[in-house]
Amino acid sequence: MEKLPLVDRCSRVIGESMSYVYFLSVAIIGFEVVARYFFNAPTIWAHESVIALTALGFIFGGVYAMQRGAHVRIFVVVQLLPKHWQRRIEIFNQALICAYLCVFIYACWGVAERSIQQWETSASAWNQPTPVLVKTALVVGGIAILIQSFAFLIRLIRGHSIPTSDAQVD
Amino acid sequence: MDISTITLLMAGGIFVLLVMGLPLAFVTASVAVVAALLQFGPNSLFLIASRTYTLVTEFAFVAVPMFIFMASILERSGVAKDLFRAMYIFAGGLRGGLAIQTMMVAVIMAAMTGIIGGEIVLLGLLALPQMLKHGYSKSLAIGTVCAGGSLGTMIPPSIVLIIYGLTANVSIGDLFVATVIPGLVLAALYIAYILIRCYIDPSLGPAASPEERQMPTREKLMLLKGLALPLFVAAFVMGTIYAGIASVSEAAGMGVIGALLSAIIRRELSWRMIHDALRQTMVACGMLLWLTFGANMLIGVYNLMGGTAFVQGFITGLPLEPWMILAVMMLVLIVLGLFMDWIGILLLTMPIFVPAIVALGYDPVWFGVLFCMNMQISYLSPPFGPAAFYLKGVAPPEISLMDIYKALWPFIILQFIGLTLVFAFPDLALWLPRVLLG
Repeated sequence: MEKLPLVDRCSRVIGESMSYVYFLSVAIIGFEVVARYFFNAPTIWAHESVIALTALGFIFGGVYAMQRGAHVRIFVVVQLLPKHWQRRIEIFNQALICAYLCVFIYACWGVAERSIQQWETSASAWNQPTPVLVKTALVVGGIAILIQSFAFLIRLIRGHSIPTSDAQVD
Repeated sequence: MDISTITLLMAGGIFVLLVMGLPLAFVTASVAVVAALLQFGPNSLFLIASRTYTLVTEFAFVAVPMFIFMASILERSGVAKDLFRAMYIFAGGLRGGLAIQTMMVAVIMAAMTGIIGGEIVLLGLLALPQMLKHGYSKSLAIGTVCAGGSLGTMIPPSIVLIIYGLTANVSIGDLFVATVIPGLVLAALYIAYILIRCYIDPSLGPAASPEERQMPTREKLMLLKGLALPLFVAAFVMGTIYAGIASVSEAAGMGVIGALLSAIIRRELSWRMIHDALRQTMVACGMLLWLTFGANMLIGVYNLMGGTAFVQGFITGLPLEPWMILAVMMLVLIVLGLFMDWIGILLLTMPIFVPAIVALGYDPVWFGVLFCMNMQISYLSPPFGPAAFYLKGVAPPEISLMDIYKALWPFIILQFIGLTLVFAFPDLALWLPRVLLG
């Protein structure tokens, strides 16, 4: 494996370990369907836990996609410009992403803080604090992308390149 | 500021940032945040965050990673290879038989997966070298692989239709049923085209010689056995959705289990395979969902400003017949499809187009099918046809991107014919849901 900077390795570890929430979701869906149709005993927790788990996958998939350079973008117009302009635009873009993420984290924290204070539960038969979990995850997931984007920004300013969607091959 | 000025400013901002190469997920989100701050003040940011929370906990979204996961597993198993070999028995003797076989395999694969990319790569690895080896015309072979592989999102299940259903607030089950016949119409058009071309000029796709088609009956039966399970998986997933037994998300989850089971029975399953499939799912969903967050924020803010009502009033107020407005929308989609991915087009245009076509008295399910067919064109159309890029990645090196694009235009015309057919005869899409779902 190629040697990646520490921040990138962290992003990968987060993404790859969190990807197992989808595997877990599959298992839960299978369990629920069998319980419901074969034993006539539907669970009260399957539906909500699958939603919470996949939500975690979606949220932390953001930083993984960022590290892999997989966020969809239109690149060709910029490529027509001279090299030094390309670099300036790249730096501007990355700085804008960082600025936006700060606002996003601030907004999500406002929502999560209230949820934690009230210890918000799902108000269902299961009634677990899944809203607290997912709302906090939005803040954490946002911070993870911010750290990765900031690392990219520094790399760009120093004149290095960062992954783009063109380079992403699975 | 009045709403028309704001609309222009926002559209301009989006355009400039997009052209600058900022990822779409952050283009929409940052325009939304700036607009919200200027128009409603800092407190509106919490509204945006709440919307994101509501979106991420939407049960229907569970189907997206499930279908991608299922496709990633099937891609990594030998199912496609077996499918391709089995179809050889049936199509080998015909002129252009290999191409028709490829198209049939593409249709069956499309019924098991809901994404494009994987299917084109598989067909590019399996079918393209075979066709070239048997002296098929390069153009015909390339076009067959790209157009056939793109059917992945046309024949249900389909990620495009799931996201459309969520955006337009339409039943995903209805959409899946509605797109079956239009999807088959497209495939039939492709097959008819291949047959006619090869009938006129046999050198384009020579028939296999009898010796080549010799195969002991036992071997034939073995091939069919290998197919039974994956086909059962596809039938099972779609059957549960159509019969209304399970929600789309649950059916998708069961589809993953089916794909895993078939991989176990085929002795192909390993942790490595699951791990790789999960990674692919994670990247695809991370990209799709953050894109959706941004578009959702943008639409939320714009709606709050009265923008959606403004655009709807503008569209319905145009001095045009309703069908002409629809045709203009189709044209807009085709033009956007030249430059953008389906997901970007869907998230940016559908929240505005769908309420407008409903106000004009059209069925949003039918419109969803039209959109899906439109995106088929966008996969192939240069300069940014993703199908061409996927194929280029796996095609023999002597095939250039130019070769691929040159091969695709007859198929783009066929797609255009298909789109026009469904546009002119909405019952092609709406008849089946009416009969099946009432």
